[in-house]
Amino acid sequence: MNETFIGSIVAGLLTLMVFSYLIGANPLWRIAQSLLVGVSVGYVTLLLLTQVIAPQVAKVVAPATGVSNSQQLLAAVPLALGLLLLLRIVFPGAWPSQLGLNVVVVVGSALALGGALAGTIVPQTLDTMRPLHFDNPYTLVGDIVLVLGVIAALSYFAFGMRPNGNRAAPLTALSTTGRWVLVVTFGAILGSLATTFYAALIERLQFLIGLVI
Amino acid sequence: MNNYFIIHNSYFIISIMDVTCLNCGTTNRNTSRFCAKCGEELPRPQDNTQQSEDSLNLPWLQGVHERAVKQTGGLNPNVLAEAEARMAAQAQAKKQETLQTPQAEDAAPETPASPATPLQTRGTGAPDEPPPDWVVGILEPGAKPQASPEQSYEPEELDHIMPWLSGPPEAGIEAPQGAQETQHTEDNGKPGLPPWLSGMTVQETLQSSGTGAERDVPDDPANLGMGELQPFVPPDAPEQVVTEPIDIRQASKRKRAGSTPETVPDWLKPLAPRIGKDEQEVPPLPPLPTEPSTRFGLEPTGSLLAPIERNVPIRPPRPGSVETLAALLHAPTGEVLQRPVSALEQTPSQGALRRVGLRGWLLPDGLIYLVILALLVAVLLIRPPFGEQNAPAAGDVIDFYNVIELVPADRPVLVVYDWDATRSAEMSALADAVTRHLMARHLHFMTVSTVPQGPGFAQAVTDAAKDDYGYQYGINYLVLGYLPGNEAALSSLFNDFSSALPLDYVNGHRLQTYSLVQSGKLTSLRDFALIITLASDETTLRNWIEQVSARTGTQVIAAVPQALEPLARPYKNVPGAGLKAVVSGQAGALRYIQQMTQRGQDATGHFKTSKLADRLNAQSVAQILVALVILAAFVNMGMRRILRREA
Repeated sequence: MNETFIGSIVAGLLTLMVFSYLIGANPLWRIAQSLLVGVSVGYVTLLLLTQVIAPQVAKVVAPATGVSNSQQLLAAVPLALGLLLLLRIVFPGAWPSQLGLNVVVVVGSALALGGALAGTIVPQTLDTMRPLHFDNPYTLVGDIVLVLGVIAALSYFAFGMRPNGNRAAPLTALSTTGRWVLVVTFGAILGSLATTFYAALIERLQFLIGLVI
Repeated sequence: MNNYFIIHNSYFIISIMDVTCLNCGTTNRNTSRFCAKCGEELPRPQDNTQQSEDSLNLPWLQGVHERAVKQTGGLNPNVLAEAEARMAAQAQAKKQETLQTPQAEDAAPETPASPATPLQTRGTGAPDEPPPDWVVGILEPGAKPQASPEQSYEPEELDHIMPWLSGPPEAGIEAPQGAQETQHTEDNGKPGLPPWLSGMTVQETLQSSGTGAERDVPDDPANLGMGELQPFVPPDAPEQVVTEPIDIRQASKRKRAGSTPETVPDWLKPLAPRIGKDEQEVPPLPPLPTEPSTRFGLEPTGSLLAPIERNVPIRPPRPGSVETLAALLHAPTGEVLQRPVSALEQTPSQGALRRVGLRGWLLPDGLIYLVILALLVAVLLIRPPFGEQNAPAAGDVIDFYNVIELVPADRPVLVVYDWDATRSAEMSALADAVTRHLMARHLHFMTVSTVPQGPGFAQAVTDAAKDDYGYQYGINYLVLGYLPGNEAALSSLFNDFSSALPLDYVNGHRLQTYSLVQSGKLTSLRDFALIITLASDETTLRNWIEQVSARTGTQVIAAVPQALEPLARPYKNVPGAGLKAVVSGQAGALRYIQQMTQRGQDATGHFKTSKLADRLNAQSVAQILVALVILAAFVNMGMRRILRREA
């Protein structure tokens, strides 16, 4: 018997077990759920051991030929930080165990901030300042809608008010428009998400039909 | 409880007056340190306390005191709540009984709260010793006080000392003795009481002492702290439930009308201004509740019956809040829930439960699920003729295709497998099409993943396509594996590829052992001509755009699921972002394959166009059905609203 066929049978059974949740929580669904979690955790653990931890330890313990001592010591730094992290098991409040986490958080935050500025905020802001191309009416309308939509959406998050608690009428109208812009945006995202889940459902149904027929 | 308050106040009066000089026997105020007559030092305060405690040796008074302390000392909200619930249930049951048998209720004689028996020797009686006659006279106006053995006053002396005991002064002079007694009973109705108390009932006495005395009792050690006791809350005394509201205003009116300040004894005169002052200070009370109150322990004092006034703005209740509160108040208590339920109530019928469960599942969600499933299966089985889509490829697909076509043949491509099983339906088709396009162009490529499941999919997709194009692992392509660390990991790829990913995923060998890397052309991300991101998550896609494309200027194109397209499209062709093209979903994969087929590139491997077309047909049917369901729901809501308005 082909291993692919066996795998298909198991996959089909697991698919049916997951679909049984439509009726309600039942043991079959729980078995499939537990299998998914267990297999995923086991897979990730092995992946980290073989792809991340073992090569890093090998760099320190058995370095390849041509690796200098400084490179070996440099490779030992992340390993030492990882070992310090294990101190939390014995001493939950030990400050050395937080060194590795601090490095990860600080470096990650700095990189994320720099990347967001360089890759998202500045480019998106610059792209909003579009010149109007009157030669192409479609592009012209699209650019106007884009700019007005951005202004309206941003005005929705403007909380400036008069001392009496009211907002200026134009600002209120713009804010209302911005709210509808956000509603349309979120609606588009939700519709796309529904399409994705339909695709997953149909793929599974097609798989089951192909398995039976 | 009423008895308790009377006794408590009387006891207080006695205790503050009873300080006797040890030398001459003169009675002094308890606040005096020396005797007013002989100048002898009076007993100390602790002696006074001891004296007061001695006065507590009255068994009936001590019993009342202990009962009050015991029952109020442990008062807490839980006990109060339980007592309230219990008393409310008992009151309700009593009310029902009253409604059922009103005549029997009326015919039943009133039972005094405490028995009235002759007075006995102070401090040496038994625990069930009765209260003194003056208490009995207040409690039971109709009872005739019995003379104790120690009572040595003659009737004439008694008339002189306490003339009210023999009736009103006017009646006592003019009417004969027999007529006096009759008049006592009929006119005054309270023989044995002084005229200044004749207009008051027991309840009024309690209320006046509660409003005035309890608030203004000085900090005197002789009161034993009983004035600071919490309201008396009997835990299980059904007869103490106050089922009728007490009209304090009427009592005060009667009190004012019946009081005669001229006949107040001298020893009570110091208290009289205070009472009058208290009456003036009492604010007007709000209308009394119409329903019988079950808050025992609060009403007799009178002061707690009035609402606490605060400067809090009152707003109308929110819609539904009153109903919610009523439902909570009528919710079954824990006692009811703990009640053992009979077996018949526990399992009414398995068949009925099954019917209810099936109906509950079917309406309305389950029915929609079943209809959608049936339609999808029908479309996939029947394969209706509205089948294959031959629409021209969209601009996004053409852009995506052209970017890959423009990659130089001698430069490798990095394919990022950042998707997991939840997006397998769409991403498998896209990844297969991209891989076959790269292989059709004989481009070298490497795969990397920042998602743990990515390397497995990369290996599966490349293994499925490599034989069709004669690709060899290690020579034409490599699966590098998993790269943890998000932004920091991507930054590490800038300098040395092999240090961040020393081993490949398929064989676990060092990268330098493969000819693709040995050429020395691949050391960092900048050596790749193109980065193709197969991302199913916005975060991973944004990381590659922000951390790699924006910093290195390397071209990035993305193949994403349909859900991610609205989030990925704003980066397309934006200066600085570097995202050159986006293709999404199964529709994008189908058009991409069709584009490759039209250009003469064989890309119909695992994912045939007919297979993708069937999926898209079924997806369209499902979307139309869901749109109809949503439309029907809107129509239903609108109709209900219209009908509600008309009603």
